[in-house]
Amino acid sequence: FGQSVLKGHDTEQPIDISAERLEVKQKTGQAIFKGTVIVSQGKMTFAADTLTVYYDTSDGTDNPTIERLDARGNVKLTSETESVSSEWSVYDVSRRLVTMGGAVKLSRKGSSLEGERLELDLVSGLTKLDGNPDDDGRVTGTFKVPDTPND
Amino acid sequence: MAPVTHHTSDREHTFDNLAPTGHYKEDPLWDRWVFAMRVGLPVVSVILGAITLSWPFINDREVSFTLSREDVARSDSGIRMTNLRYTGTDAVDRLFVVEASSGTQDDPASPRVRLQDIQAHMDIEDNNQARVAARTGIYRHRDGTLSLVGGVTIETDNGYSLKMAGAEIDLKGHTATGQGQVEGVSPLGTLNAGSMEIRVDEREGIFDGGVHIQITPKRQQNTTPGQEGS
Repeated sequence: FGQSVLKGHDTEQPIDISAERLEVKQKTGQAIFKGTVIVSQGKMTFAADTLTVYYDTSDGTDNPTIERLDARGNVKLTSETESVSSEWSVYDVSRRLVTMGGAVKLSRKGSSLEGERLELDLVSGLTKLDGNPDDDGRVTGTFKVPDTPND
Repeated sequence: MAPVTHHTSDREHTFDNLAPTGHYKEDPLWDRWVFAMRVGLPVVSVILGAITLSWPFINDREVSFTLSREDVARSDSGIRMTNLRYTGTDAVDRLFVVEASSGTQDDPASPRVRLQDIQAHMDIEDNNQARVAARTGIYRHRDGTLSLVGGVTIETDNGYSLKMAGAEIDLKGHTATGQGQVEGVSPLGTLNAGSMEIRVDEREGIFDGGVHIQITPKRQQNTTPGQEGS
């Protein structure tokens, strides 16, 4: 089913975020982006309606430590090898794990899978998709049989 | 006093010669002089006292002057001043200072002063400071606000250093709103935005009108970055 290009993704390289509005609340260490939020870091980009970045700056002068990025509303993660859409996503920078949930649709190399919750491990590049527990955890998917054997 | 008698020995005699001798010449002139002084001096001092006390009243020419506003040199743009410095305090007595290389005021009573080359700084809590600079602006000293135009820079000790075209600063409330290519550094990263508002006391920064920020996360010592993602 192919390997994600996000294997071994460096989660501490610079993150570029653009949005219509940003509120930086230093007391709680939160930066809230609103309005067509687009985040890009290396080979991974994702878009959402709103995004909250949880960060910590020891004294406000050197670089911040980014803990988590919570996206809400029309979340879409894209990389060269796959694109995933969902209602929400949590990018845990320190655990290097992206969790997405709510009508998750994963499409990779022409085949697509739907489920309720997806975990993309940025170290191994493996993607785990769980179905919706109330319709007995069913994951539906269509697979495109590759006409030429892929590498 | 009786004159000295000479019946003692030679040694005492020489010793006596060394003793002071009185000079008792009668001098009527001296007595009259002393009598005159005894009367004259008190009289003179009384007269002098009376004159000094009554001097302002007996003197008819008015010594003091008042600078009446009418005859101050009225240049067309009002009062011109150079290297001005205004200081004030906010509600909890924290200091703010506004300095400018030159300024003009329509008239001394007007609460607005047009300033050039402005530098202002405000003390925030725990020896944290915010500094503001601009080419031109208006200072309303009654309510402690500054409207700045041209080359505005705003810096706070808690991580903001921003440039923009124009800004409104409330020196007492420690808030600043700015617009016109806001760009610079925030505690989270370098950013640019259409407009901004900083509430220094609440340590909140709001950026609007399209924002772009680049965050450079701090490298954790323990993790070894995987193969370079980008």
